[in-house]
Amino acid sequence: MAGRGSRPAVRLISLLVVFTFTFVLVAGRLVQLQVVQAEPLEARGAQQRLRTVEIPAKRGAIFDRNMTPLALSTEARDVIADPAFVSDPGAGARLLAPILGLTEAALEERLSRPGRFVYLARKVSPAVADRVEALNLGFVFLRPAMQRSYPADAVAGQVLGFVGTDDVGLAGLEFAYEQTLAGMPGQEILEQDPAGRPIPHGRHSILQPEAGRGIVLTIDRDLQFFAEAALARGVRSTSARGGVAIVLDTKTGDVLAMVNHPALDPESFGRVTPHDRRNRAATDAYEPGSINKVVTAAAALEAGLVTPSTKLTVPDRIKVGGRSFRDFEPHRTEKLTYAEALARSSNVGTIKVAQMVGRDRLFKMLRRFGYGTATGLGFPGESDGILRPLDQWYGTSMGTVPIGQGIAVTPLQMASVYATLANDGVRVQPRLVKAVVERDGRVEPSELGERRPVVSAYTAAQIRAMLVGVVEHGTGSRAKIPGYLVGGKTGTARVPYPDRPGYSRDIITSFVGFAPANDPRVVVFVSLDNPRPRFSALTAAPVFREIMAHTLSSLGVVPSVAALDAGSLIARRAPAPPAPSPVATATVTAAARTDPGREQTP
Amino acid sequence: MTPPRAALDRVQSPRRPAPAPERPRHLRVVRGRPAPGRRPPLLLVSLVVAATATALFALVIANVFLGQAAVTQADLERTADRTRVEVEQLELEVARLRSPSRIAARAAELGLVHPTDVTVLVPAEPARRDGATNEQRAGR
Repeated sequence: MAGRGSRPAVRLISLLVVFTFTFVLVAGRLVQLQVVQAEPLEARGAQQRLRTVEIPAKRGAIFDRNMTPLALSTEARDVIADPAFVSDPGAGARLLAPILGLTEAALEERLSRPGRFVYLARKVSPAVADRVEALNLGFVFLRPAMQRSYPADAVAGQVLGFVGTDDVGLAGLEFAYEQTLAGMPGQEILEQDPAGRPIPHGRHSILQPEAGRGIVLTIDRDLQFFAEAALARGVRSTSARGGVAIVLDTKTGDVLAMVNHPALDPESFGRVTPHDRRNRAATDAYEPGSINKVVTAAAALEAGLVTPSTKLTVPDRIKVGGRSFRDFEPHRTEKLTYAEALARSSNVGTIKVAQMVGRDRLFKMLRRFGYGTATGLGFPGESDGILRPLDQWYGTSMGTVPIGQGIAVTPLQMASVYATLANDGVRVQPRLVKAVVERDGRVEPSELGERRPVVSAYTAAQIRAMLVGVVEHGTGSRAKIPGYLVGGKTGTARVPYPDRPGYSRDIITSFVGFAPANDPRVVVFVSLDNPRPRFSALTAAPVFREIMAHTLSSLGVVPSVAALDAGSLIARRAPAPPAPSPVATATVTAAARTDPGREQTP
Repeated sequence: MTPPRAALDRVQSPRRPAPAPERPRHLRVVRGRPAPGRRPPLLLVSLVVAATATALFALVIANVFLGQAAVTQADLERTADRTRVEVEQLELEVARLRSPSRIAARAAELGLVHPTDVTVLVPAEPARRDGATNEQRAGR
């Protein structure tokens, strides 16, 4: 009777134990899920439920000096697909191909890929996106994006640079001013069901993006275009490999045009070689040749060792450091004034003057003109040029450096040298960015570049007069512009081998000058890579003339000089002459016309 | 053997008390019409129900209007966005059409050429900032 009676109790106790154990298990699991693993599980749930969409920030625009847009960003859409939801890739491809402008085969291949994400097209216009959306395909999604456009096509392509697919600056000013232009992207967070549809009344928040700031360049778009066209014509007519041109405002240091040929269209930079993507006007140094002779002249005149009328005995060759240096054309030993020697671009005459100057003074003058240091333009990859320290100069350096070999400068550095001479000996740091456009539309002007005296105003005026002589009577006669006085210098330099000592047969011809010489407003630099014929006077000088004439006209510089009689020359009055004769040479007559605005200055 | 029922009743049941003599009552239940001045509860209930229903209806209507306004707002915002994007696209198109390379190409199509024979006119005297000639200044 007792055994039978204890069975239910045992069963009840067993059941109680089982239930208790089960309950403890469930409670333990509950504690584990709700307490111990609560945070990671909640985050995991949110990750499955919440979708964060990045809203790209509108990149700041780039304007030319007249606020004409050179680079703009507009809204676009990326068309993406989830191949897992695609049941018939061929049918989807047939619908999408005509809208996206892609082949059916390409689209079908993308829709057949494994995985859950594939780009069908990037940065399509809103109109195209609307047509895609109207198809209402469950596997196609649209994502906001930004499209960078360059409405002036290839104008100033290397200067502007370009952006990558993700709208990040990769080269040029787009790269240099990335922080200014980029802005801050926003975020949209929304709650969605497992099928990816937004849950009504679910969580939804938007953090609006912050647009980037714009920049205003010193470049004049129309002038840039003209200079590009002129340089392209010059390159074609001389069968040159390429070329560079710069237009520089002498008083402000503003770069009005900076041209590289071949040109670069930033919207299709992938089709251009890396060499042609570079803004070689600032990034590539070359041996300048005879246009460097003005630095030798500046050192000699500043030291008072010579004047433009100093008579020099000039043979057609001279030995320096055991090596013979010759003038371009053989000639008998002549008595030339220094101005005449420069007008003829005499290597021997220049080397003789350099020997009077000495290594130290020449080196110091090169440094004062900015050789061996980047101009401070702020362009990415700007070259310092090459100027060996004085203790590393060779025995022949006093033969090569004065005539522009054995050193290297960028075209911008050389344009800056002539701008310094045109600006009464005061160097103004070149600049490319004139102002920043704030988000509220305010235009904040950038500061003018640093100003630094290099040579006296008198020395600068003497050299200007000598350079006018180069154009009027010397090697630069093809740079003459009717109605204006032009000063400038030709230069032809051999190109050293890139991988071994010595010079190749390639040459670079250059012409750099200023106008109007009686009150210089602009400096124009032109160089051509390996042109035919191999003379600067016949290749670079005509391009210079074309660009300078258009620049003076577009800047509204009134012609001030009637066609000059042969042999007459107008030299700008030199301020505060420390020497008795401010007039350059016997061939340079006194000023026929003076600038009334400058009559009061000593 | 079970005891007889009557005996059980005697043992188990307590003795009932004798009924008390009936006293005369002072209060009585009044039936018939309610006292004058008191409203019937049905009307009050009806009014409350009607007011509640009206309030609920108004709430629903307000909600509908709010919903419609929200939809309209969303539509307007979408339209504004589209218009803004359209303006951006048009600005870009205008900028492209003003591109000097396009203008030069169009000019070439029209047969326009750069002038080849340019005559430079040099002013007889330097220009003055106020635009006056020397003669004018002398006459003042």
